[in-house]
Amino acid sequence: MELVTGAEFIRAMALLGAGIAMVAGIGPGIGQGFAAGKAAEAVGRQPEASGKITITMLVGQAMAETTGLYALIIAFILIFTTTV
Amino acid sequence: MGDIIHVTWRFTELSANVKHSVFIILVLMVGAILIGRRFDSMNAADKPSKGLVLVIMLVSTLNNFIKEFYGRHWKTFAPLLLSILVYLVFANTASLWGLATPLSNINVALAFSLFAFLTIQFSALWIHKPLQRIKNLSSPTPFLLPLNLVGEISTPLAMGLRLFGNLLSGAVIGVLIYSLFGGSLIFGNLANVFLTVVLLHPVFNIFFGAIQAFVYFMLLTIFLSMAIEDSEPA
Repeated sequence: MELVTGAEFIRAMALLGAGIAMVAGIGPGIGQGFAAGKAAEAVGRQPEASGKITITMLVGQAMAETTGLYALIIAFILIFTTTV
Repeated sequence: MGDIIHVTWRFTELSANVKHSVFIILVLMVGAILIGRRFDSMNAADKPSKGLVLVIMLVSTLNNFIKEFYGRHWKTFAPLLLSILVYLVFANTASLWGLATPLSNINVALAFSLFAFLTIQFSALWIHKPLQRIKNLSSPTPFLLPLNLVGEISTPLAMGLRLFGNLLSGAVIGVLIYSLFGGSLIFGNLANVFLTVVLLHPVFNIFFGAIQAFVYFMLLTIFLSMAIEDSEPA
């Protein structure tokens, strides 16, 4: 008696892999939080430069986000390209 | 093999993202021409209208910003960078007007990668002659040439994929939240309206879209200026 077919097993593993891939979201979270914390420190030290600090922080955070987005793209590929 | 791959050029068979991208480009072109004509027909003594003042301020702010990076070449690159920024701001917030967000299609996003790559390479080849360009790429030592070449390809690729990932994730989250409430959204209870109108669209469409447009503009500005001034004869 067969409970799971091969195709279903592949689909299940792909979905599991998509979930595991998104563990990479930890990295950008830490990085963006670190950048925001440093930016808050910088604004505290030099309130007159807050505009430039904010822009630099946002650009840096968007760069830090890249690895998380790669993981997201991999997760989407795993979800949407493996169908039973 | 021959009947599997057939290329069609019919506009209606393109995906919605590409069609709406063309639509946004047309609207922006007509708008830019109309604003330009109004600007040209003005005398120095005329008082410009409020909208025109806004456009003039935007252009002059960006010109000053670009001058810092490009020095004497700023006039060549300012129009290009400004049009990229304006297009991306409108394209990334397009879902507010019921259009499909163009950059949530990977083909459009990779077209932006290709565009950034070609712009950087051709500008560098045009401003420094090819020999100087090879010297720049093989600095500090010739052993790093392969690594530099990989860097030249991977940075534009990352720029396009960044746009794609951000906008696709925004679109997917939007679709998930809408499907959570079914079709009863507009006439549903106030909490749904609050969640979508106050949180979902401002955050995922306006804020993330504008941030990503600005980030692409900034990165293109920085990488282009680096490729150009690398070997500015000192």
